[in-house]
Amino acid sequence: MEFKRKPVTDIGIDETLKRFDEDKIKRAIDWVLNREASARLKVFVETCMRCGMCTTSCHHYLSHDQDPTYAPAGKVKQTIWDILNKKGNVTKEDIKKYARIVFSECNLCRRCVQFCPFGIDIAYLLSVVRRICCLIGAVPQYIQDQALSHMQTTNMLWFRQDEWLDTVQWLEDELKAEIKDAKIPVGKKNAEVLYLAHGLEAKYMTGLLTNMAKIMNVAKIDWTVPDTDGWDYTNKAFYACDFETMGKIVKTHYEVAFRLNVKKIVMGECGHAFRTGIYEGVRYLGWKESPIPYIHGVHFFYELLKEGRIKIAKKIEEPVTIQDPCNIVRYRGMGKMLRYIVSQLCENIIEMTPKDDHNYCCSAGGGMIDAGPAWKSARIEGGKIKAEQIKDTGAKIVIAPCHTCHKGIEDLNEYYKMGVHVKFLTDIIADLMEIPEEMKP
Amino acid sequence: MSNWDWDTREKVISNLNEWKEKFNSVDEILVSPDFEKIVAIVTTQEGKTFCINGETWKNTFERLCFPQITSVGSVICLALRNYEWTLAKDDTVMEETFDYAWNLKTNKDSKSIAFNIKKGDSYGVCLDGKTWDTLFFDARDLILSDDGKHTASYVRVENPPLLDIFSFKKGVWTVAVDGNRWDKSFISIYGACFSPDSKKIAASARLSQQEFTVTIDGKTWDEIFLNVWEPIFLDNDNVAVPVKTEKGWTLAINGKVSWPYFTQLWHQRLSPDGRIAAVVATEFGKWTVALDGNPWKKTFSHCVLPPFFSVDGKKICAVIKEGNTWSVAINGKPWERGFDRIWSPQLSPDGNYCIAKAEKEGTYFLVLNGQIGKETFDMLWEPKFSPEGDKILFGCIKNGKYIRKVLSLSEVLK
Amino acid sequence: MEQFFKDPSIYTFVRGPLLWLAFLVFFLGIFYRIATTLREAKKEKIVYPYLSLRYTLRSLFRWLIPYGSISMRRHPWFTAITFLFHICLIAVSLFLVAHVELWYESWEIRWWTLPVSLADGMTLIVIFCIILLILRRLFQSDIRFLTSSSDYLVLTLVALPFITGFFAHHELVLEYKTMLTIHMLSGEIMLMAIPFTKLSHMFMFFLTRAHTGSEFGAVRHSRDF
Repeated sequence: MEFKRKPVTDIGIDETLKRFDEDKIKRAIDWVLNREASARLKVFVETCMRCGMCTTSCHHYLSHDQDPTYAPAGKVKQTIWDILNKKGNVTKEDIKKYARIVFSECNLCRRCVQFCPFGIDIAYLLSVVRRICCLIGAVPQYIQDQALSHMQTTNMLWFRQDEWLDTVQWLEDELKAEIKDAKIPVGKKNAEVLYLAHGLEAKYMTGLLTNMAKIMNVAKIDWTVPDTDGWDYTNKAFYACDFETMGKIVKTHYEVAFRLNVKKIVMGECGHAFRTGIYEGVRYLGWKESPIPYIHGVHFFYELLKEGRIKIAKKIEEPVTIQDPCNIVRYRGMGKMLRYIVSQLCENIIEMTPKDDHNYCCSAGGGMIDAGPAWKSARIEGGKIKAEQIKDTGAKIVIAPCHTCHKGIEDLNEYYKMGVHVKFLTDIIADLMEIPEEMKP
Repeated sequence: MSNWDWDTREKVISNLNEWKEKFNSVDEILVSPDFEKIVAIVTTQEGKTFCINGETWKNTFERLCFPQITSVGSVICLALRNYEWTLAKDDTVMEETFDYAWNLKTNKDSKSIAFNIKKGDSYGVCLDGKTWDTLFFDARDLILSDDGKHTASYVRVENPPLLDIFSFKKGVWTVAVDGNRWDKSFISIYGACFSPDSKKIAASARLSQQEFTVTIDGKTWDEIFLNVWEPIFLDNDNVAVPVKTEKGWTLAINGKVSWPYFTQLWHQRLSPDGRIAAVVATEFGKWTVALDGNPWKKTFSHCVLPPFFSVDGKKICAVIKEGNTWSVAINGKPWERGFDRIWSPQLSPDGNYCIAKAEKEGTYFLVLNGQIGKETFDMLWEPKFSPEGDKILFGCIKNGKYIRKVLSLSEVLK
Repeated sequence: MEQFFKDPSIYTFVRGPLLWLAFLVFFLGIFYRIATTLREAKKEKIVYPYLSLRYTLRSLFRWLIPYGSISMRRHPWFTAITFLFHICLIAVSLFLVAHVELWYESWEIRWWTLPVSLADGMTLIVIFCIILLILRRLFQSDIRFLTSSSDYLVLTLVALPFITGFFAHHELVLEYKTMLTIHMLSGEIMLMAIPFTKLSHMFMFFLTRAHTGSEFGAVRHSRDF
C-alpha cells in the first residue's frame, strides 16, 4: 500500500528543510531517542504485535476509505519505526513525510490506545516524532508562529499587554448594559477564582469572554483575571512538542495564581489548554498534579448548577447532541458532568454513537486546526466520520465545550452541509440563565 | 516602623457599611503598611474616586486601575479621564497623559514611580513623569531599579509581518534600559533584574529551541543550557540562575554549575547571611527547600512557594502545600495544621516566632507558630511584628468595621 | 539432515543440556528484560508515580477475559481466534501428558494433564489458528501493510513445535524419535526466542497494561478498554 497524498506546501516544513543539512536531522533524532525517550518508546515499539486491533478506532482511517496508511499502527510504521529501522539516517523527504503524518493525520486523541490489547500509547509514539520535528524546526508555519508568540508574550497572538487590559475593560463597560455594576476584576488579590481566557476570546471571540463574565457576575463568584502576561490559557507550543515553551507558559499560569493568592484557576471551554494545564505542562515542570486546582469550564459549570448558584430560566427544545472533547472526556472523564449540564439546559438530547470516552475526535484537535489553512482539507477529510456521526443523530445543535471541537465541527458543518449550529456551553448558559431582578440595570 | 503606634490596642478606623451605603460601589480595598488607612475605589455621582478612611478625593475619574499604597502611605493609581490615562497620586494628577498605562511600580523607598505606557502605537516606560525618549513597537513588563533611577522593559525591536516565522526565529525581542535597547535580540528574553547598586541588569535569554543562557547588560554568558529560569544578583557582580542540563535542574553561578541536580529548581533567594535557598523538587512530585544545595529531608506533595528568611538568616520559612491543604514549614519542619489558604508568613526579628494569615471555609484568622488564633475575622490583612518582636500589628474587618489591632504574642492565642 | 537428527547423541543433547539452556535463557531472559525495562522506566519519571494496583488489575481483567473490551467486541472473530490460540498454546505446553512425564523423569514432580485426545485437538487448533493469523496477515490490507518478514518468522517459530509435536505423536513424515528430536529442538528455540523477540509480549503485556491502565483509570478517570 502506497502513501498517496495531495501535495501541500507549508513553508514551516518545506522552507525549514531547505535551510539546513541532514546532520541536523540526525542530531535531533539521536537527542530525542537517546536523551529524552526511554522505556516507553522501547517497550511500545517492541510489544506491538501488528495485530491491527487499533485500525478501525481511528477516524482518519474510517474517513479515508479504510486506507491502511491512515491506520494508527500504520502511521507508527511510517514514522517512528521507519526512523528506528534507518537508525536515524533519514532524508529531508522522510522528515517531510513524517511531519505530514504526525501534524496532519493524527490528533493525539488516544482513541486507538483504548483499542490496543497492550495499551500501547500510539499518540505518545507520534508525539516523539513531533518532538523530533520540533528540534529540527520542521513544524507547520501557523503552529510555529503561535509558539513563537507564546515564547515571549505567553499568549498565542502577539497581543501586547495593554491590548488585553483594554479589551477586558471595554468588555466590562459593555456588560454593564446587561448586568448592573458588572465587574471584570483585573489582578485582584485574594480572589477565589482566577479566570484565564482563550487568546481568541480577547480579540475575535470577545462575546464568549463577556458571557463568561456575565455568568461569574450572576453566580456572584469572587473572581479575577490576570493583570499581566499569563491571561491566555492556550498553549500552542504543546502541539509542536516545544516542551520548553509549554513549560514556561504553564509555570506562568500557576505563578500568577500564587501571586494573586487565589484558591483555584478556572478556564473556559478548551481542551488542549486543560491537558497542558493538568498533565503535560505540569509534569514537565515536576509536579505530579496541578499545585492548585485547575478547573475546566465544564467542571465549573457543573458545580454552579449543582450548587444552584445559577438557575436556568428556560430550556432549549430543539434536538441537541454532545461532542465529547478528547482532552476533557477521554483524558479526564468529564462525560458525566457534561451530560448533567446539558440535561439542565436542553429538553431533547440525542447521543452520538459512539459516545462519551469512546467518542470520535472532531479531527481538528491536537494541533490540526492550528496547523493553518494549508492543512484544512486534511482535517475536513479526516472528519468525514464525525460529520456522518453527527448527521445520524438528526440533532440541530451540537454542544462542543472546546474551542477546537467547536471550530472544527463548524468547518465540517459547512463542508458536509450538516445543517447544525455548534454552541459553547458558556453562550447557552449566559443566554438561558435567570438574571435576578436586582442585577438588571 | 518604630514610630508607628504600637500602644493603642484597638482602633476602629472606619465603618465600611457606611461606605457601602454612601457609594454606588466599593472595590479594591487596600490598607496602608501601618494599618492606619483603609482605602477603596468608590463610585460617586461624579465618577470613580478614592475613599480613604471615609474621606474621598476631590478628583474623579472614568476608571481607576492598579491602585497601590506605597511603603510611605501614598495612594497611587493609574487613572482614565477624558479617554486618556495618567498617574494619580494622593489626589494630584500628573499632567502628561497616555493612550494606555499599566504595570504601576514603585522602588524600594517609594520615591520613584514608574509604569508602562502606550503613546500612539508606540510603547515604553514613564518614570517619575518622564517618558523614555525612544519608544518601541511593543514594551512588556516593567523592571525598576532599587535606587529608582532606572527602568527596563522587554521590547520588540523588529516588526516582521505576521507568520514570517524565519524572521521571528532570528529574535525580535531584547531589553531596553531607560529607553536604550541592547544590540542583540533574542527569540525570548525574560526574568530581568537590576543589580543591588542599580548599575547592571541581568536577564535570561533564549537563543534557539534548546539553547538558553543569561545575558548581563546585553553580554551573554558563554555557557549554554537546555533551559533556564529567572536569574538573581547575589551582589553587584555575581548572578545565580536555575539551569537545566542533561542531568537535571541545578543552580549556576556566573555560568558555572554550583549545586547538585534536581528534578526542578526555581525561586532561588539570597539570605541576609549570604546563603542561597531555592525551591526544589528532589524527585518528581516531591517539593522542598534546598539551602546551599542541601534539600530539607521533608518533602511536600503539591508545592512549595518561594522561601523567606529571618533577619539573621538562620530561619528559613516557606508556604507549602501537602495534599489539599496549605501550611508553613520552618527549617524543614512543617506546622501540623493545614488550611484552605495561607498568606506569606512573617518571622519575628529573633526568628523564634512565625505568624501568618490563614483562611478556612471563608473565615480568616491568625496562625502563630502553627497554633490557630482564637479570634476570627471577616477579612484580615497580613500581620507584622513590632521591631522588638513582642507585639503584632494587623488590620481586620469585623461586622463591617475596619479595625487596627495591636496584640502581644500571648494574646494571639488566648 | 534426517541422518543428523537420527543420531542418538543429538537426542541426548536436546533432551539434556540444551533443554537446560533453553529454560535458563527463557527465565533469565525474561528476568533481564523486565529488570532493564523497569530500570529504564525510572528515567521516564512519570511512569511509577501514577501506577495504581486497582486500575492495573481492572485493565488486566478487562483484557484477559474474552470480549471484556470494546475493541474485542468490535473484532469478534479475531478475538475468538486469539483467545483459542493462546489458551490452547499455553494449555498444551503445560499440561500435555508427554511434557509432564518429562518433568517427572527429571524432577519427580507431576501435575494434572490433559486427556490425550483433547490435547491433540488443541494442537490442531493452535496450528489452525496460526494458519488463520498468517492468512490475515496476507489478505487483510491494514495488517498486510504493517507486516514484515519477522512477523511470519515469529509465527513460524511458534508453529513449528506444534506441527512437529503433532507429527511425532502420530508418527507422521519421519520416524518417531527423529521427529521428537526436531520437536524438542524447535520448542527450545521458541523458548529461547521469547524474551528477545516479539514473543516478549507474553510478559510485556502486564507492564504496558499496568502503565496504561493506571493512566486511564487513576489519572484520567476514563476507560482503557
